[in-house]
Amino acid sequence: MTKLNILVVEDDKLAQKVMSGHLRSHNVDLAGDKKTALAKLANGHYDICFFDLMLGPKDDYSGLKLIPVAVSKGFYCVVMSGSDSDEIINKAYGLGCKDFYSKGNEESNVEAVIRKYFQSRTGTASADIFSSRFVTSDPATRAGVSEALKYAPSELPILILGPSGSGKTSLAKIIHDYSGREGSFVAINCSAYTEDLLEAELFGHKKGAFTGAGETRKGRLLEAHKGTLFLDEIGTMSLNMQMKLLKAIEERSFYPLGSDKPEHSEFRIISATLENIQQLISQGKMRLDLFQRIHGFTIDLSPLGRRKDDIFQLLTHFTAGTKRLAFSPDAKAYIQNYAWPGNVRELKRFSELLVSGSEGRIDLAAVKQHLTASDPAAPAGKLSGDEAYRHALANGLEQTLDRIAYEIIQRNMTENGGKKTGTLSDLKISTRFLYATLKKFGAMPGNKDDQPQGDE
Amino acid sequence: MSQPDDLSKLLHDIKGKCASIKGAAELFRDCSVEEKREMLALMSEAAHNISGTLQELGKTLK
Repeated sequence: MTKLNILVVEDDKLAQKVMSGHLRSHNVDLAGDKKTALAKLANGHYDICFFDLMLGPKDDYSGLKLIPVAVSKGFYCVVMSGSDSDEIINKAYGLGCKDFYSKGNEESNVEAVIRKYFQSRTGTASADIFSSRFVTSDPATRAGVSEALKYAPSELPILILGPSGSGKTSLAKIIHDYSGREGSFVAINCSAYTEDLLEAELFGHKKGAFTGAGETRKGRLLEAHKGTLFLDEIGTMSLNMQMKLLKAIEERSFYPLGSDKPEHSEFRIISATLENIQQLISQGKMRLDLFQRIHGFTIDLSPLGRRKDDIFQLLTHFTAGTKRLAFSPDAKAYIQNYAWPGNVRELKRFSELLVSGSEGRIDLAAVKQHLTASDPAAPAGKLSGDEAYRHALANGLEQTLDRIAYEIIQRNMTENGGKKTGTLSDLKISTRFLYATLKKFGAMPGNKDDQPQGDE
Repeated sequence: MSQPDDLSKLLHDIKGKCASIKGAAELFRDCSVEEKREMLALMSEAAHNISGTLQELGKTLK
């Protein structure tokens, strides 16, 4: 969580101690009287100021006089009170206080005040995010991310949809940072583990719980206590694991493997998937009750290929402070029309390759050398490792292998300038296999050595 | 300051100190031993002050 600078204006030493305890995860400055508070307000920069209104037993509400000073400096002001009249509290609101903290009231908690502060800040902060942490000028993406940030300080689960590399993890981290939650951001990629290992990772285990469990280990659910649990690729989770996770979400407690003692964890869930989640539900691969628990607010991130205006903006962002890249017109057009199947992740890698490996103006050949997809206009859809696995589960291994073979052939043919002789030699495949694969995917060539006999 | 205002302030002081003791009791369990000692001293002082304020309040009834 972002560490805030907070000023607490409170004359009572014990109340100061209590507030410092509640705010221990932030930088807290204390002022016990009006004079000290004025000096701190004049010289310091605070995100939030908490004001007790009566500073001393006989004081005449001098805390009220400090509020306009803090408001004029743009600080978020909160009035603290245990027993002040409505008239005094209204006066504090009239002077610019944004929130109220009820001292000694068990139902009132400082965390809720902090969340409201973050909520108020998201409106102004989202514009900054789009030029720094989530670079985009695409109106639909901006609107979706801004809307998601509105829910950042709430308990609402958030589901992020979008293809691989489109920024799902980055967005989840931003939402956590704007949530005001005091716990950590804990991410796990569900597709990277087998069912047994995923269970051990999520719930933790006791020493000797299974072969290889040499020591007791805390699970991700516990690590995310009072924070955010980011479940990436949740669509790959088995139905059995989904049921166990659902139970942990509903009961806020779970048993680590090999333990008979339940652990308690209050985590907020953000999940992500690149799959069509409705389809998973209809195919019986996603439990409806789990889906209902994870999709409070849903945002769908577009592939980079559909956010053409973002391409050069992102390139500038990724190369800031390193090298200013200049492209020949045809190279620029190629980049602009390229499908970016690996999305922002691919663009980032591309920019790193250019920064380290290019000199002077970058021409088309240099660009093509670093971009993997064969056809710049081809729709996004290359299979990465995880995607290939899921594709195989959905369509059968044979179909997936055919598709991978096709992609490798296409890439190699591009690298050989369309010459199939080179591809046959490089990939050590038969002519029959080459043509069968191209035919299967409707890509019988009509260029260069179109006729099989021509280059054999 | 008129008499009712003084009474209000005394009551305010009592309520404020009670709230602080209550807040400290809620945090107490999670404190280190050193913090617990400091907290107990402050809680005792606040309780003592409440007692003094209550006596002062008693005088206002005469």
